[in-house]
Amino acid sequence: MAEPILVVENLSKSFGEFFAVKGVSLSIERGRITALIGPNGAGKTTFYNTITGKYKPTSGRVIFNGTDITGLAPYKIAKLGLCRSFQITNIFLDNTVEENILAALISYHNKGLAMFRDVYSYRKLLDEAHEILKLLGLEDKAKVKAKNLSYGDKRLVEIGIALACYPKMILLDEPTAGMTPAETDKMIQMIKALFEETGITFMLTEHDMKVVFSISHWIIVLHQGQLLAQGRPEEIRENPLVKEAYLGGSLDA
Amino acid sequence: MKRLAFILPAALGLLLFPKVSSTFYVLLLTEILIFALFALSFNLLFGYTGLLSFGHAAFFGLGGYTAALLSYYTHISLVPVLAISTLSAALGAGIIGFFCIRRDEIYFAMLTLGFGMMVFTVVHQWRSLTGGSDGITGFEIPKLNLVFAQISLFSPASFYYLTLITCSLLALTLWVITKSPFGLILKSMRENTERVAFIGINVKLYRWIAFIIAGTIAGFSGALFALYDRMASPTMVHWTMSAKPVLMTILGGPRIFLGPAVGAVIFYLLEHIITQYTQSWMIFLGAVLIPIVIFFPEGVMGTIVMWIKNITGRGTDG
Repeated sequence: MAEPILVVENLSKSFGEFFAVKGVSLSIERGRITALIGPNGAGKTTFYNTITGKYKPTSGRVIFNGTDITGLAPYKIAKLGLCRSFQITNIFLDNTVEENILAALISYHNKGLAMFRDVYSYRKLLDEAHEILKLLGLEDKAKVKAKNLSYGDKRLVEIGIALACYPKMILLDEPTAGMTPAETDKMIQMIKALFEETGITFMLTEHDMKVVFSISHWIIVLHQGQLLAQGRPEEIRENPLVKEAYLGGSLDA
Repeated sequence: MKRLAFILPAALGLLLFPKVSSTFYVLLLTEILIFALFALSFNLLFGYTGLLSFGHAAFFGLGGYTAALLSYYTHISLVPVLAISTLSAALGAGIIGFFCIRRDEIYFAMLTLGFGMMVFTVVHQWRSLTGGSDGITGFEIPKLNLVFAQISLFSPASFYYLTLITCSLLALTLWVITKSPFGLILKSMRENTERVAFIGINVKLYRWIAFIIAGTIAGFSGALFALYDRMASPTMVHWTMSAKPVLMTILGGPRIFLGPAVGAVIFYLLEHIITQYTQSWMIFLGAVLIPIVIFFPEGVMGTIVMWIKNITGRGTDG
């Protein structure tokens, strides 16, 4: 089997006395969709923040694609190809949709220090931006300011920015947070399509268990900051510990 | 291309201005142009990068004092005087910026204010070099050495043309920068610093570079101002001088490239008109500023451009 893309060894993150993530070890295989689940406060977002450099881990190691990224600055981790989206929409609101995507492309292509040429004269960047907008179904909104988009479209831009970093692995923190059922459905279809189109390794958090079981190849369960279980969807569905953590097994919901 | 319809007449007007106007107004317009460039350099940080500097006069002053000292003690010609002055401001911006860019928002503003005060104190106290509160006076404007001739800039018109050409070129450079990939990254940092880091951008490095560019151009405008005024004085580095580009930018509008330049024009016209009647013109400036901030936060230029866009139907909404 190929080496895993992400290896987390005994990772902990504490805030004072409180351990939001405690002794988590796991590895993520390439080319799969992995779901990270757990009740509210299980430490999912802290886990993301700790491996993507927003927080420095209290202890433990993170190896991404063969490189030790423990405690590196976020921009260095992003440059290595581990990119993420955010639970609370975190985009460039006063810029156009196209500019949101272009910023990430500029970074990926190391054009950020080019000062004396119009950004709209870079044919290649524009073509790539439109390719990504097409994947997301946003091509007709390229010139719209992000702040004027619907909530669902803002969530798509959120993912578009992460895609434009050409990640080897992408972490989606509750991509469907706050969405209507119809928007959720559209988003999940989009993620499936993106996965098939790009072959990027996906990891995502999601509260709707039906969605989790339908989309993921592998499931990781966090509970009170610790790894409770991991396995294929059918294994997780039958796991008594997981059922208990979710209070009476609403996993079939 | 519609822009050309505005820019061409403006450029023609500026070029012909000394032919049709009195010396007094030529001098006034020279000063406006210098401050317009100063305010534009400030706005690279404020409007484009989202960093409010309260210490921008430090670099204006560094450029000004260097130019005055070089003109007073040496006989080197204009181009090296301006180049060395600008470089000294760049160096100062490199050092001060290195510390300031580490913090956001009000903390950044306070750091720049603090460094600005330090530079002021040094300038004010170091009498043997800077002349203390008297400043440096009694020097001549260095001559412009061209290959075939030496040109004196003594006449207001020739100094006006020097200012017009150099300030326009530097403003153009700033404009090109704001349209570049680098400029888009600056704008993205203004919108969301955290997210910029997560797309792989070293935020501190980019801020530092923006800070140095802004400080360098402020230094050039300061050098021109010292030569124009035949004087470098501590008011050049006082915090009230740092407030000028802030006020001009808010008057004109931070989101439109030429907003701060338009703000400089409004600032000087108001000052010029009001001081004919009363010395306390700042009261009237405040009276103009308050409604602008409350009702037209996009500034005069920004609001006009918005109206034009609405009328011509080029709205930003999809």
